[in-house]
Amino acid sequence: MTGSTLVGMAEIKVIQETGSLVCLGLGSCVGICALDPVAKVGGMVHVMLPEAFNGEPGDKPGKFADTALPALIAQMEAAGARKSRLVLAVSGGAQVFKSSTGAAPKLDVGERNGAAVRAAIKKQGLRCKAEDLGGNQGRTVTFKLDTGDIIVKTLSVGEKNLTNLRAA
Amino acid sequence: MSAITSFSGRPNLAQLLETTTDLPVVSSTVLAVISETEAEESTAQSVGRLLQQDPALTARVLRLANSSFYSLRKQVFDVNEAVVILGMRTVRRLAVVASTYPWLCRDLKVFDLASPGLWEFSYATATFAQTIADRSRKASPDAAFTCGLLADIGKIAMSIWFDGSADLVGALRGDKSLAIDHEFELFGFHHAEVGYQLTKMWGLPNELCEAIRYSHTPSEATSQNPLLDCLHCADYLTRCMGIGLGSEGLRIEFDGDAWSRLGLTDDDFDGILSDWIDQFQARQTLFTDQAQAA
Repeated sequence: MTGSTLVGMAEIKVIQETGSLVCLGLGSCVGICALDPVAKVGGMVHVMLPEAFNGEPGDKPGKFADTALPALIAQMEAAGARKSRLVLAVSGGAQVFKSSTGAAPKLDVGERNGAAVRAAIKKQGLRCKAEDLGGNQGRTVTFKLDTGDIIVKTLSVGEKNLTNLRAA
Repeated sequence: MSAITSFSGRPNLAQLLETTTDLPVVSSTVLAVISETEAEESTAQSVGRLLQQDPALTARVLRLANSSFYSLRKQVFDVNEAVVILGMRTVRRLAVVASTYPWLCRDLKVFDLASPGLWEFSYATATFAQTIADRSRKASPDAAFTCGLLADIGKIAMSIWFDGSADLVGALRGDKSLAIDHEFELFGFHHAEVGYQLTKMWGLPNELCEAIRYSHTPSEATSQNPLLDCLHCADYLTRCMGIGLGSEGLRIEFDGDAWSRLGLTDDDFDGILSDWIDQFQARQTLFTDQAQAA
């Protein structure tokens, strides 16, 4: 396949050989991109919340940072990837321009998502090559499996190449 | 009325509203249904009778009722039957959706929202507002749904007036101020005020009109209004989910006191978000069915 595959909220998508994965309009959500450059297996997950309630993600492990990454790895391994070869990039976790969360600090979900994704990557012992977290901009993230490019698009900057997951 | 190509000084909102003939409208039948479903003495028959006054709307409500989302055992051909089977509240929501969808699925260049961006944003806000009202028990979930769906109706009027004449997107690029302040600076009013004026013209309850007016600035409201608090929080959550951001994006100010006034706690937040996504995705089929029915 050469087309783009959309990765909706809480979804995990894995592609092989060719094609692109796209997270459209990330606000406080975080897109995790992963590549096994040898097996040419790429994956992306659209994380919405930091952690599953009582560790139970229900039928959507991609919804939560702590369950999304193990599920992504499992799906990529099923497609022929090896965990030890995975290289990652993450983007998202924005906040609204101004906010006063008052007595409810959990409402800063963008910041919490970013921290939870970092912790999950550390826990899995994986290498995150680049991150673009925080700020006040919605993002669209495209992972081009053919080239390994991670493209992040925002209203103010337009498109920028965050990193290349194939490059050493 | 075609888009204004140039204006000297500030355009006059009252004059624009008065002279524009193709402003968004919600059918009088839907307004009557909203009013009827809030009356204590309303019945399935009284709601059905009202809906039948608008055959086109009835047809679209029936198409929605027969959509795969509701998985009815048999097709429903009669609106009275739809009210009995689905319930008055659901039919009210379907009527509001059927009536507003043709407007909400437009392209709004001035806000950098390609179709179905505004529809998705409005529907997400409506379902968030309903979920929050339900959880807080401080406002009617039905009123919150209607309020969320109509919250950005002012953008449609502004798009009729200003598409092609003012580069709001360009003005916002790289800037560090709130989107609503930019709108005010460019036009002398913003979409929340336009939405207030429109919903007032339609005769919707004052609480709902005021909620739309102060949806981005709840601290400016002169009286406590739980519907406003539900809408403000729903707007915040919809943006957090990155839905229909357009040129406004995340350039809003969120007032966490609205959350507290609703009696919601820190722990309610993740639960509301998690529940919402399951319901929202399940209802995505409604989008498809609406597109077919439009």
